Amino acid sequence: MLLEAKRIVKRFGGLVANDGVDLSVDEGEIIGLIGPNGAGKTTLFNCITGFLRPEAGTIVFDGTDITGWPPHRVTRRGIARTFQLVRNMDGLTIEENVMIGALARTNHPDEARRVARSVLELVGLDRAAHRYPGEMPLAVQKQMELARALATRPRLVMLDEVASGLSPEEMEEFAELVRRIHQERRVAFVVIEHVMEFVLPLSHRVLVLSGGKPIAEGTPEEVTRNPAVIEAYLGESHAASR
Amino acid sequence: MGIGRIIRDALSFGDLSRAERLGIALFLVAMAVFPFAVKSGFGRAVAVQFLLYATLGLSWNFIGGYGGQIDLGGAKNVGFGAYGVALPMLWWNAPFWVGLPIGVAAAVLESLVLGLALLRLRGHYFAIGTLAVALVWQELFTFWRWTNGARGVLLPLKPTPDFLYMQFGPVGFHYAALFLFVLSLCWLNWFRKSKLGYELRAIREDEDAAASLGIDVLAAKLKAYCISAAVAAAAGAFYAVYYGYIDPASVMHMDLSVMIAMTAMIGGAGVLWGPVVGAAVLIPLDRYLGAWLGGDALGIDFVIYALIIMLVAAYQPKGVWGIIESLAPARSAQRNEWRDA
Amino acid sequence: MSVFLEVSIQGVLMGLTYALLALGLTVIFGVMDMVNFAHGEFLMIGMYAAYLTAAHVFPDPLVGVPVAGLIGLVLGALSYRLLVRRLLQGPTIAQIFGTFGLMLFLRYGALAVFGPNLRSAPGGLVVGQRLVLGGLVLDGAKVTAAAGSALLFALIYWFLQRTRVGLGLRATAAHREAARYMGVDTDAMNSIGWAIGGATAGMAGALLVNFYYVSPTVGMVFAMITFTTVALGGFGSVPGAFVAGIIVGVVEAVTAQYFSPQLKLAVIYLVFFLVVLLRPHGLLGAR
Repeated sequence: MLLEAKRIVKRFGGLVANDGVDLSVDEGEIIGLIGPNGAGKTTLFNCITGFLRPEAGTIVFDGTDITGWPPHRVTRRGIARTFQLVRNMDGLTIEENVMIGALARTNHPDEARRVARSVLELVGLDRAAHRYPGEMPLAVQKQMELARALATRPRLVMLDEVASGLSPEEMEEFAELVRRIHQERRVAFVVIEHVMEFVLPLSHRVLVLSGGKPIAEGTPEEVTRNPAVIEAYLGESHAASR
Repeated sequence: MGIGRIIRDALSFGDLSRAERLGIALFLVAMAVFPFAVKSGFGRAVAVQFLLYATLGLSWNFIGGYGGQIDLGGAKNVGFGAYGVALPMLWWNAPFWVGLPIGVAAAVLESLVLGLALLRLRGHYFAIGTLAVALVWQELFTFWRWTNGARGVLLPLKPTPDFLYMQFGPVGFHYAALFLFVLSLCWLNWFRKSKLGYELRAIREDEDAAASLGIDVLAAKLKAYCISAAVAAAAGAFYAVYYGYIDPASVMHMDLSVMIAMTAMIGGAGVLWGPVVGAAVLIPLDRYLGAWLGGDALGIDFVIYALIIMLVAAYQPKGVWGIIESLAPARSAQRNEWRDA
Repeated sequence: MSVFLEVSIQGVLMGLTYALLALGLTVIFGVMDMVNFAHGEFLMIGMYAAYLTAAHVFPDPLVGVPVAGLIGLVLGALSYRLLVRRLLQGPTIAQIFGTFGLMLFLRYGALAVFGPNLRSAPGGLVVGQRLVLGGLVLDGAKVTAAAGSALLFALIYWFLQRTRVGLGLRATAAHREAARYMGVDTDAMNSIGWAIGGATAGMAGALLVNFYYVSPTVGMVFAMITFTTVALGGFGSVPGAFVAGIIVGVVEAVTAQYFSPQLKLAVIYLVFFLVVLLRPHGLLGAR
């Protein structure tokens, strides 16, 4: 097992965002993480990547207990992430953005630049290397964020709602990109997503959270047929229509 | 990283545009021949002060410009450097070159310890924190007896120019200041191309994103903060021997902290020679304004700086450098296309 | 009566004024996540307004309280309209330098206009009056300032809690975007926040003039105390500002009594330092 998060608990004041969540990821697996708003998906991400400290539970990555590690150590250990709202470094060019990621593995900026170029080529952004992310369309910014994460040479990449804000074509392109990276680099992915058309075809396995608790787990087909899942989503759209 | 590589990076300006390189070369030549071209004591004093403040602005750029951490307490480092030279000289007649490392070490050590705490603060909080710390030091140096309190320290004068005690005529001081300035410029030039420099720029843009990319945010900030302190303290040591008299109100005052941050901000924060441009605007303005207004119009100089700061902050946060850049937008775009090809 | 108790009471009196000062700063911070570096200078302007009123119009600084409040209100609102609104579009560095520039402008503008000399109120109803309560001798001016500050604090608190505009301010502080969708004019709320900040600082200044000297640089001392208070109470927290104001007042008085008056600022800065380290969201803050 590459990543094994067990019985993760995280509260904010009275709100229990994660109430004993398990998540395990195998080497080279793509896991979908879905659930209605406020289900605790991003909280789980933040606990695993070190941005939050879980109150209970353990996180083991590649045989090492990384529970409570600060983000930079988690990244250096091999877990990279993107953010729900893109977090460009707008004062740096796209190439420099990706270089920052590459510097996690080298002390030499020149070496980092070479890595950045090769990653940019992989995601198809080499032509935009010297542009600034802020002046590019959202799809490019999201690709850059993925490139930046890849440059840290992770074994697991955690994507937080990469498809939101993208057009259907861009989404399809992005899914293709994830598949290609997965094939070429044997990287595992955990994908938080609202857009089912994006996440279901991409995932090998899907975990569904609701109210901070896992309510279902299985192949995309199994999960979409699960009554508890349908209930959770219906409940949300029901509430939203009011 | 090899020492040869560091020196090469520090001395190489190859990545800058031709206009910038030409500008730097012309500037350095002009500074080198300045004492021969200008004989007036006032003009020479302005030049030395310009070099001193430019150096202080460069020191601020490490943490404030590249790192985006608005340090409003730079004066404390100047104070440590100045007292580090002045007190041993007063007590034991210790040469400048003994006091210099003491002052620099004190500043670095203090920055290391307090930085561990201060640098956990973000944005406004960090700015207030640095302001508070610098004020405490000023209070303490005024309050303590062993520092001579508010009376300050008058450095023992040497009858003849003396390299050990760094006492010479205006020309000697000019070259000493120029040497310190060039050294700082080269250090900053290395820094901006180094891993640490990239880390600091990433932190300036987005601390969380930086951490998610494997940067130990606190450690990186701490390193830059200490480098900044070392450079400012060295400038402070020079300040002591140049003026021959220091007191907490001159070397530790908030106004000095403000001037330091301002030279960088007005010239262009996070640009290699932004502080040089800033000091070139501010110091002559300050001195000629002072000479012109005399002692009567107290505060007018700072009212004018304040107006400049507010205008720059409101309309051009990138400073004079931003104005230059916006005048020549075509150039950088062109350069990018060449690189793509 | 024990010395400690007496010193503490003095500290509480001073602390009530600190609470009022902190209120203005914390409202601005709460509404727009921004520290107003010129807050101490608003206070200084209020002090001069009251001093000049007392010197030239009516010989009592208390008459200057509404004058100073009005001037502070206009100053705060103008600062927002002319400067801060533009700063908000820029990076954090511009915001910090912008209000810092405003601070320097007011401070050295005052130096240019009023000169460096310290001035104090020529006299007034409560100036120099002694108030004897049992074994306790209090300065009447300090008691007046404390009472006035407490009253004004209560008034602003009521305004924030019970009026429509107050609700708008609190909504903006809680969630700017959501407030805007609900139809709150957040730009106007910013303006009002700055006006409240200016007015409270101005009136606090006028109250202080009854027993404290005025000088162009007096703002810095109070600004640092106010920053400490706001940090201690939690940035943006109104009840926190009240409690923390009193704590800071007592700490200051105790330090001055038992260590040295010259060290009281150093100790307050130390408190600030420890608070932002150990409780970054303040004593009552819970973010």
